[in-house]
Amino acid sequence: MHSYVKENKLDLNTIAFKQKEKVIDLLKKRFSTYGYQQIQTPAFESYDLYTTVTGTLKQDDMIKVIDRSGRVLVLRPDITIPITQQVAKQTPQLTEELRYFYVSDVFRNTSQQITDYEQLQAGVEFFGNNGSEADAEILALVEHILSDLQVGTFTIEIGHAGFFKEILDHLSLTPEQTNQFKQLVQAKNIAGLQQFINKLNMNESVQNIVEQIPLLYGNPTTVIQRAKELELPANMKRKLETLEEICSLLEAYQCTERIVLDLGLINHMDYYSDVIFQGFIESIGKPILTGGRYNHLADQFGASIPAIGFAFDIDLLLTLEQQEDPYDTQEIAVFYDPSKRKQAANIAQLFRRNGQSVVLCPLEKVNHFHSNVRYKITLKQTKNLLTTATETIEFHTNQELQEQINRLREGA
Amino acid sequence: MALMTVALAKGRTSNSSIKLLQSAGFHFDDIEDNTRKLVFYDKERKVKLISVKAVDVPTYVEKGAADIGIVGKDNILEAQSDLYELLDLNFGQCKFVVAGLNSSLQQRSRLTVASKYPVVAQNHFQRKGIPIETIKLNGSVELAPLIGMADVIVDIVETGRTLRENGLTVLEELDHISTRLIVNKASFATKTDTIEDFVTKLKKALEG
Repeated sequence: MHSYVKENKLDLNTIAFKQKEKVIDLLKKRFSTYGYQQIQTPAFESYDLYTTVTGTLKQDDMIKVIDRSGRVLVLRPDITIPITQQVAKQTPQLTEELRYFYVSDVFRNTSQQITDYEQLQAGVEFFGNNGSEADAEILALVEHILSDLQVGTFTIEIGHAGFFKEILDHLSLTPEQTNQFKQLVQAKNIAGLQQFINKLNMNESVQNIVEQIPLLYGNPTTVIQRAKELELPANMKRKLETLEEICSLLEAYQCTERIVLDLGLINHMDYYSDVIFQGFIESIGKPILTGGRYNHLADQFGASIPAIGFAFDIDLLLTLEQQEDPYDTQEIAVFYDPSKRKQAANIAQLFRRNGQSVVLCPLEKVNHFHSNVRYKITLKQTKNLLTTATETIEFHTNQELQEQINRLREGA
Repeated sequence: MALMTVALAKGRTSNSSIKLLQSAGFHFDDIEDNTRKLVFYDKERKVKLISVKAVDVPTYVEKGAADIGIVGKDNILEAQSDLYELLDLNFGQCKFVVAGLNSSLQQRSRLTVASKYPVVAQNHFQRKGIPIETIKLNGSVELAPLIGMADVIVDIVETGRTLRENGLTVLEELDHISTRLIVNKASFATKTDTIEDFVTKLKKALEG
């Protein structure tokens, strides 16, 4: 939620709203060019859906509602889960590929501020393709959007959810130790990690991998090279090969420059099974988008459907420094003497029919009018004037006015 | 190279931090003990140093207002922020303890804990399965058990002198604390080279 108070003018949030619409528009168009179709999930959902699906959201974070019959509902806390459930229900044996995108609010009470309970997400879900080429295609889409947004330097970090899970399988840790270990890896806290390892009795080659994982960050080719030098177990080797394949496929899209591998990347959503990624923009401290492959989420709904997706955090994106918005200027305003009321309305309709924005304002209220106006039309009792930033022209008929404006437009 | 913002904790450890930055080759103009300035630039204008309250350093870094922070582990643990913690700078050593009067921990069904670090206190006792009520205080925490406002305190101690002089004893030792270098994740992703260069210089200065 944004509100702006402009000089001389209380503008609740029209600028922020226009900016938001512009970003949404851009994303929608880009999603479409990659073959995605828009869908929406219900705002109210059964609470049971989220309590039965494991490894997803904290129950405390969901906003609950009770309906007339006493049933507990939640306000849409996630989008991937209900879409997956729908797809699994309709086509448990999915043979075709499905590409969906959404622009929807999710509701979570993870924040102190009530205005932050509502968070606008825009993302895609791609079902029915388990190949690395699908992963690469998704990552290329992410890169494409970040370039479209023209937000300066950005980086896409790619990791593998299975990598960390695999290491956990080689260690027998208590839940508390697992948590601590996860935090150390996420913080790339090497000093802490070494102390942690020293307390455990660990096989030397596993120990070496654990120590190196957070440091395996950077240029994909270099990271893969360095990872290969470690004595990785067969399962981890395969996962590394998947990442290598994705990165080499990405070269075809010419977007490897913005991509780094982070083998210590862990996503808080447990449903991710393979490649995971997140995107960062220079001046925003948190990931602007997160995503990954979740091949086993559909298992929980009795189907087997490979899937990959991501979501942009639109509200976070809009916290970027607001630039002077070109839309903030009113295109045409007509100020009229009461005797010219009819002509004013005629002029307004004439331009509106052509899709231009016109506002009407009686001359006596001109002091209450504060927007910037590109073409200012003043209908006085005695004469009619057209004023722009540079000149003032007198006109007699509506036809003449239209010609003048067209001429000025072409000049601009 | 891009300008980098470093948030430095005021107080206890700020002198050691500045000394470390100097030996790593970053010299800041008119940075002295009694200055009231909050923003400093190094001579090559590659680093902007902002001086903020220690508890706020993790916030500045997590929000991306600073790329890097230099602050005690105590404040990092309390803030629970999602950050990289790349270096242990080894100075500002102390530890978290549970302290109280001798009888404090005996046979109570519910403890009242006073602390500047309510999150740390809560987490510790939760791990032990002891329900507690926390009272957030901002200073002179040692007073709380003496006047009966709390059963025990969770605080950091260096020498233990304040505790002793107020008749409190250490009942339990928790995490070891020292000053750490923390990094915003987006900054690390988008300015990797600049940040790695900075970290390497500091690391060398520590070893040298």
